Amino acid sequence: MNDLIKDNINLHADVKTRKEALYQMSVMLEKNDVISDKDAFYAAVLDREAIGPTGMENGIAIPHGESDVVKDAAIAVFKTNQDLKWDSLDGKPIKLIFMLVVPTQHRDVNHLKILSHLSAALTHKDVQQQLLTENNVTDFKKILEKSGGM
Amino acid sequence: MKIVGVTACTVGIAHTYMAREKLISAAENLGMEAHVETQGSAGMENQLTEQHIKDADIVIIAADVAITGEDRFHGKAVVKVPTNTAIQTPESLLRTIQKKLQVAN
Repeated sequence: MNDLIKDNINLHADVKTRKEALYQMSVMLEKNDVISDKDAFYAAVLDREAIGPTGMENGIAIPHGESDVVKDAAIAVFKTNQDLKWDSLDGKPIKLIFMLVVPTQHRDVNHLKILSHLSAALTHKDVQQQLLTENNVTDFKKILEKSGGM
Repeated sequence: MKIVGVTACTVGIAHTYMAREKLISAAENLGMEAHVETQGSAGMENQLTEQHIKDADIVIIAADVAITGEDRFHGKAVVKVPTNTAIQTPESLLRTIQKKLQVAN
């Protein structure tokens, strides 16, 4: 199993705004040694946010950042204790965030493919529903694995 | 209706692949045949063959950036939309195209 999430997951995140979520996810990624500079990565994520909505459908968002402070491709996950205001395709607030972390250099094509498979898997309603209701990390990852998202 | 499509987005990570998945699912639901190529950060995947293109009634380019190899579709009917349209309302996109093709023929 190609686990690109590893310890970068919190299914009970106590954050109140979109920006707080994005920043706290950057903090987590720096603490877990996935990125070398949380502020530089956070800035890259905000740059992407400025281009267009990363909120998708049914409470799921896929923000992403591409930066040379990223050591290796990764996925960070937050499920938030409260709904977050977020520009989304269906106008619904966001509750589950998959942050795609992409290096600028030394890209591993297989890792990039995993990120793309996750994006594709997250378009399916049954997968969305299962992930939104699962609060156990191991089982959460199993859902992703089964749906082809990892 | 037979469809070929190409998807691409700015960073080439998320929307490219979501748009492909949505177009294929919508086509299946509507009993259509779709082949969709992605041009993303992992390079070109599910590349369209000459036969796919030759057989297609319509070419859908769901992209937020310029795509590679648009000249392959010379002489075909081409519809261009942003990736978000393919992700958000794929079935109505395909239905609208089908109606327009029926009127044109």
